[in-house]
Amino acid sequence: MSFNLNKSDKSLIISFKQFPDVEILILLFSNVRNSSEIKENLLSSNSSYNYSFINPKNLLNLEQLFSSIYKTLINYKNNEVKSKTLNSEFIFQLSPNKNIFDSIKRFGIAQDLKDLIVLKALNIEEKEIDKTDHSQPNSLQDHYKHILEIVDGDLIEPNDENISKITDLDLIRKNYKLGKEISTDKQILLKELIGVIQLKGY
Amino acid sequence: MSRDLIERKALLLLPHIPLLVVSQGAEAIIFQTSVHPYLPQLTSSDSIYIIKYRPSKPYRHPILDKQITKHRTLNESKLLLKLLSLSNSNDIINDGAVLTPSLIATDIPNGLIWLQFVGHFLNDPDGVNQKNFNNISSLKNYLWSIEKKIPLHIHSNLKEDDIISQSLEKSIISINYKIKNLLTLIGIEIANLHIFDICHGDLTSSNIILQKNSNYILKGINIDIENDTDTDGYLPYLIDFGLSFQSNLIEDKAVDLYLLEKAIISTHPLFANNYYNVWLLNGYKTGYQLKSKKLNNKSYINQHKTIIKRLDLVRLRGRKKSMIG
Repeated sequence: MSFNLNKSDKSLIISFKQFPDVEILILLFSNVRNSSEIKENLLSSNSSYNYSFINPKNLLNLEQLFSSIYKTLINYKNNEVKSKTLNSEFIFQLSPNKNIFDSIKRFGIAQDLKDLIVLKALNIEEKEIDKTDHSQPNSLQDHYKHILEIVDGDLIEPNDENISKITDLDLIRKNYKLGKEISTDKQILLKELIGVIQLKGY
Repeated sequence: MSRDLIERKALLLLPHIPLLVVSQGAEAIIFQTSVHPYLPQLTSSDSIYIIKYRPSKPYRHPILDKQITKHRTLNESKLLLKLLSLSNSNDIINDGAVLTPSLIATDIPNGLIWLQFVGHFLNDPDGVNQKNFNNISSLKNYLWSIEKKIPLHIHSNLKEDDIISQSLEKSIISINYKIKNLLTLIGIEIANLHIFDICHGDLTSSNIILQKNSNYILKGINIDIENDTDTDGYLPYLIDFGLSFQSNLIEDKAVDLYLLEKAIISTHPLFANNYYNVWLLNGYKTGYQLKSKKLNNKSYINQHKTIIKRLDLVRLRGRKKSMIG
């Protein structure tokens, strides 16, 4: 896997060995001030909001996110994408829940969410996107700039340390339905979450 | 199907992933790779990951074939996840854990599971550490490496089963209090597995991998164990859940134990009956005792008794239950 963390512009671009063409841009924001505005635009299918908006409170670290991105790409390859767009599929695959609407509610953007991950996959064909629409950004840089225009918040480096400050263990316990006995060993908890993500849908 | 063909199929499913065959069974082939599916390459790049692949079988009907592949791959991954979520720590003794390789990634419809690599490579007789899976730190290889050190004349004495000289007894016990502790621990782990109502289905000394963990000592228990509560720093991991299943039946658990006993007898004929199997079963008993103590529930003791009673029956008739009458 290639992992390019650009410290100066606080962007992360990853790409997996098995899918060498697909590049994924990941940005992390804190103090987001316009979550409800973003959500409204998503609900009205504004085409310039063509990104995955993910609630990072559900994440222990980047590995968990990468695991679900990988699973999404495997499903895409196997023609098993369940939701309408790849953007929503990335969110859906983080959730153990089979209900798409509910998954997006829990793992996507919420009205007064202060922390936010924005994700964009490039060089992967979407089934339902109109390719003649040239007004849309198409390079990584264009997307980067465009996301900064959309999101009113502070860009912070997308690393494990920053994510761990956002992690909400109670929320994870609830959203992953882990019951009362949650392992206090974070390494074991991570393995469990990854296992759940990898077996989602079966 | 030739190995060559299977490897080519695997490469199509795993483009750009270097694959090295570790072993091949009737149903699945095991690869090792240095590449993690979705994490950056570590700079040390010594890492190993395991890929288990169930290729499609050309002699099966394609639709049935897909169902079988999916079903078996899913069954194995689900049990691994179940054991992981039932074990809240790595502590076999105090928390009743069962240690297994963790799930890294799956491609269920294509019969692929990525697993954590456990164990390490033992030195071969010349003291050379070869990264060869023939030298993997399985219980079998570990026991063999120690058995080799026992002088030959003792080996030959052993065959006269009934006369076990004192010197033999001494030499085995003194080298091998560690083995005794280790096998006791494995017995406890198998009890834990059965308490979770999961049967392994293929317990052998090569499906138990020893992982070095210097921090771990057997503590807080009063089981029949030598003073030195050392297991040579090893933690036993159970692998290969391809034939595993969920069951609360006494019969299934007894057969699971019976198969292990048989496997130990055939791979370690000299020490199986008088030592290894005794220690394993002692550990198994301890596992149920620990559980009973922890939950203050005597029924676990009774369960253990019933299973051992059934094991005696299974020994007499073999694992196949008579269908007559």
